[in-house]
Amino acid sequence: MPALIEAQDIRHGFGGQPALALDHLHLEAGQAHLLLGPSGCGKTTLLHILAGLLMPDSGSLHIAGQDVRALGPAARDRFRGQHIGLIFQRLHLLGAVNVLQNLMLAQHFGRRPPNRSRALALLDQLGLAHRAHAMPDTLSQGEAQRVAIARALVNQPAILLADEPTSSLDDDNAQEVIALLRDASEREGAALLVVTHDQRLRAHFPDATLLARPEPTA
Amino acid sequence: MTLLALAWANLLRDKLAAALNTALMAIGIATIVLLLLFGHHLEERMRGDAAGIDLVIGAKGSPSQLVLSAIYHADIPTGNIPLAEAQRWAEHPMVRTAIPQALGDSWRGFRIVGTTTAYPALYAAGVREGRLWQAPGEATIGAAVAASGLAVDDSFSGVHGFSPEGHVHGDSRYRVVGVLAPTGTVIDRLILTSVESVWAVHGTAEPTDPEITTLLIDYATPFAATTLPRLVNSQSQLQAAAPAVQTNRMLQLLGVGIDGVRAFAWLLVVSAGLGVFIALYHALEARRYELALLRCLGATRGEVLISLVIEGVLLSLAGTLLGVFVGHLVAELAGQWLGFAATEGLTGWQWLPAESWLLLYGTAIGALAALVPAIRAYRRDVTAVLKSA
Repeated sequence: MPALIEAQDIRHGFGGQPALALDHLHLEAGQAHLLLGPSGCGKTTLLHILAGLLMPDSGSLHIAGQDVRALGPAARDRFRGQHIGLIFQRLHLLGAVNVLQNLMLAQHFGRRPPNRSRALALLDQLGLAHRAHAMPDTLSQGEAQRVAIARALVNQPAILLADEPTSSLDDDNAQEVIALLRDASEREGAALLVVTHDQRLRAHFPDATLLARPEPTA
Repeated sequence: MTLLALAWANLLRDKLAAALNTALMAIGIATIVLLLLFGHHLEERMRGDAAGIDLVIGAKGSPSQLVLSAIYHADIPTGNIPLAEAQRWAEHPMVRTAIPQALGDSWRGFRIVGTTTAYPALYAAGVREGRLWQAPGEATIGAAVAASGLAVDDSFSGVHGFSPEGHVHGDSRYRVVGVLAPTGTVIDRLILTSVESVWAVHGTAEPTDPEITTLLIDYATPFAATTLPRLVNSQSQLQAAAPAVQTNRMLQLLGVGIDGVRAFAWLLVVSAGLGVFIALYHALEARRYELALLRCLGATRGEVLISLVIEGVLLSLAGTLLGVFVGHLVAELAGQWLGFAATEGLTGWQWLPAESWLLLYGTAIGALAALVPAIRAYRRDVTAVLKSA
């Protein structure tokens, strides 16, 4: 079985200063993995690189067998829409359209045919069936995050990438969100990679990679 | 959900701004449409009224006054001419037909024209009720005159001059014997009778040296256009004026005024475009995270750009369509209810080729206004936006 994420010697810098140094990352289908590191170690930069939003200065990166660096900008965007689900700490939903339409927009940009029943089924699984036609500004923060999880999974992506999903939550809620992420990604057959500085999550992930701050150049 | 549906949903988020922009655009476009329709209507009428008349012969004076009085019945005549002199030109070999007009009186602002039955025939005006005039004292009235309350078998006295307050020729009355079908031409607003009737009203039933006011000439040969006016102007005390030339001059003068109003209307349209620009520029900042989120969902830079352009186009298209609708509605209402001679027969039930261009221009302005914000959104570094979230 091919690796979902195969990253080697990824280096990236901003303004001549190194911002990220990742020697190796390997993730297989169905795996849940934690990428832990202090602030300033380039976690978010790595997440952007893995999502194809940013091209690393050097290194090799294959996602679901595809050499991401070989894709053009528009092809990378489409690839992201089809294979990668993204979840953020606060940034959740498109405010102009309702919950169901948020999911169906993800189908559109994931180049999938509109599938309303699939979207509704997913919302139902996450306990949001009754909120399908609610506008985002009427949702609680927790509901909005669950909708974002549903939206990230609606295209059955190979990988679910979560950027600091728990850092602003108390222990109970953090635990709940992680359980939800693990359950939902497992059910949808997506590998889960959580990128965080939240040490509490260590207990929930058997597999973890520690990311260190790159040495600044002299 | 598609880009179009998303753009529409985003517009509905700020309904007030969207409504204001649409209204501003609609006012500008409606004004332009109204000017187009009115200008076209006026031109049609002026050309229609002058159709079949190659030359007007009358007393010396201003040529445009001669044409205005004889064809459009909108100015006072330049004076009268001797019938014998007029006859000479009517029988000229280069003239196919010559229609005499004896002008000078009116009834409630409608002009009384002493003429021959060739005059209504010129405008293909059929008789709707009754018949054409025959005996002296009989009159056949145009459709608009009939609409103002005069009917067959009514009788009336003309007043001297063209204002309702003139001297009343009370001793001799006209009797209406027929009503013409509406034609959409000047004849709708005229009262037609024989030349002899007009003479009789002025107390000269058998005048010794009879006069008429003008002669409407139809050339027998195109060659006449270059020679006949010069002959008339040089060889007699009369004046010849070509309606085509005078009408064009008047339309040009009118065009200057119309162009001025039109420029102002375009200013409104452009400021509506500016409104679209400001709305989208504002949205660009207010929705920066959401635009970044679109990219995370798999939208390409191009799709983000297009989504903003669609918003601009939707806004301006809505304003343009509303403006076109309102312009036609106002034109139709003005034609039906306003009751001015100039707006009579004006209709909103027509589509001018220039309006198709207007649709294109109006929409293009929205697209153009959206372009700068859209390009900024296109160029924006998503990762920087996400990091600041």
